[in-house]
Amino acid sequence: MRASRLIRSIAVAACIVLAFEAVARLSGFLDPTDLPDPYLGFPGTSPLYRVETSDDGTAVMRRSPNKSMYRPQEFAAEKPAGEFRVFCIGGSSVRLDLFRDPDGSFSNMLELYLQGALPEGRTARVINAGGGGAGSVHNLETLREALDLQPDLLVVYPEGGEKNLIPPAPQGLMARADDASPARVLARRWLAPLRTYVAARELYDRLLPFHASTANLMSAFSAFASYALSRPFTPENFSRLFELKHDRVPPVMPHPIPAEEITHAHARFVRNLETMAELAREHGVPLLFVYPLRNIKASFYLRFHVDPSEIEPGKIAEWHRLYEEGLQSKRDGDWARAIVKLRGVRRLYVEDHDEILAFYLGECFEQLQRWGSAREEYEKPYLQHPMRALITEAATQSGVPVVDPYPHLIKIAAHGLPGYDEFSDSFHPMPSVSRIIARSILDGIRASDIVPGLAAADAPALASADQLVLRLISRCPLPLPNRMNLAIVSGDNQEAIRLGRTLPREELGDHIFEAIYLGWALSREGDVAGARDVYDALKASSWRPPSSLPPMETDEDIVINAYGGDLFSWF
Amino acid sequence: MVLTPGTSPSPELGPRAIVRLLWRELLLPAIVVFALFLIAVALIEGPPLEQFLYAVF
Repeated sequence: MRASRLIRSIAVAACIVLAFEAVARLSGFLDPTDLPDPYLGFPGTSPLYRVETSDDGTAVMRRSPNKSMYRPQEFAAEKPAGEFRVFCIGGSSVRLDLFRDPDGSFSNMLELYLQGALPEGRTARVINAGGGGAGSVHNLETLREALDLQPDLLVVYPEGGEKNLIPPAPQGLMARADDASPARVLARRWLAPLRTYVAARELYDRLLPFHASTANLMSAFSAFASYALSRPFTPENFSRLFELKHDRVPPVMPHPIPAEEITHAHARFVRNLETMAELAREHGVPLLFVYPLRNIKASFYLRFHVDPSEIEPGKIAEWHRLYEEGLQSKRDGDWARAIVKLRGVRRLYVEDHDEILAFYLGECFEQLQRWGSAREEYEKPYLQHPMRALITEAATQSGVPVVDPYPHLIKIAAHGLPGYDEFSDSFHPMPSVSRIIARSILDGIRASDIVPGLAAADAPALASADQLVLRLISRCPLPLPNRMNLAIVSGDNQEAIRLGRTLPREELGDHIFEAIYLGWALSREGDVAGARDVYDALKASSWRPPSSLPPMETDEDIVINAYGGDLFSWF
Repeated sequence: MVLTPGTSPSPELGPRAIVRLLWRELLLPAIVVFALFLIAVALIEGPPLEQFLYAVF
């Protein structure tokens, strides 16, 4: 009797859950794609794309409302016959938010090239699945979902968002917790899509006062802006952090990020790429990895500290003296002497990981118009960056082809030195570089024989597609803050000031990037009154720096708190 | 009449018996199943056990 009652109760409970699920789904109640994503794109995250009805009544997939860090996309829920469907997965360089209209992303250009290259009767549809700040954990979840959306090819462009997976960043804490409890991850993946589970989670969040501690971390730019406005005005407010790495000796300090964190995160990165390869293979879908590109003439992401153990024992004083002398010669324009001195610094390393030193040497060689040597130095941190080696390792172990757009990038850059004409900042490609990436991927598709009958590289149809792409590029304007940044790094402060002055003073608080660049350009020009006026305008605006700021007085503080402990040199 | 497990409600079922029946056959299983989901949430999403106990008690 008891057993039958228990069975009946279980059956009733199951019916209640099913009824709740059905009613909630039909009414749109507790839709995980509408609620804020508590998993930040980690396993258990709500779908990136959801089925909606288009104006003509057909079922389409659209980006979910709570995934605004990804581009809005729309594609047929049921793949039309003949469609060649590609998902480009990655971070902000794939998303390329700066160039939305017209779409200057490489995924859009790849679609145009594929349209020209595919055999008769096939159409190309390339979906931009790049999300701002996405790392390999997010990319893996996106790839899992894409595999259920009838892909013919997956392209993964792993990039700097991986740095967000290092504690104490909130996602880093979550990644470590997930690594420690795979069962939790699995359970979340299975249960999170249930509306009943969502209801219980919402209730739990309201009932329990406990919240995991999350570090209040700032992006580099927001740290720069906060630094400028959180202290009494001096002419250095706008320039100190931007010019931290301008002809200055890096501090000798232990690595701010524990080596164990780096090793762990690197292993996770490789594991995630290998899992992507395994899943793609299981589904019979070809996969390509792409080496991410970087602006080799940007010093922002270069490591600006030297661990004492990297310098030969007892040589720190000599190292410091040579560094200072080399930089003084560089400031004086004595490039040849600067090169000799700075090379002397390099000889004092047990193992040379000094990225900013290579940058300084690159600048000296460039001034001497020794372009080959300049490139060798500038590209050293990029080519030796751990991410490239890790992508190679994962690709080799799992048999995935890797596309390398870098050799093509060098060909389009003046003197073979890709810089701010090719990148809108340190990482994000200008549309002209998106073109290079798209063409490199097309070459990769051809080389891997992924599509039988793909047109040859010199086919007229591809030349027409290239014309379309070039016309598209000519219609992509560079946003104002990037034009100002470009002017400043090119030494044209007056142009940056002119651009900044196009904004009314009372609106500067609504244009924080432009305002900070304007303050920086004015400081560089020695216009202290002008910089002070920008400072006052920002102080009077509604923009407010965070109430508590980490210390940013010494170079060491700035490396740790504004440059994220030099994380970009690891990811 | 007295409603015993396994019997069908008779036409003379009173309001108290109906409430008891609804409680036992519908509400109780619903509460139990939701509580199970809450426990699942606590185990899956929550902090480590000792922090969880500290937060609750």
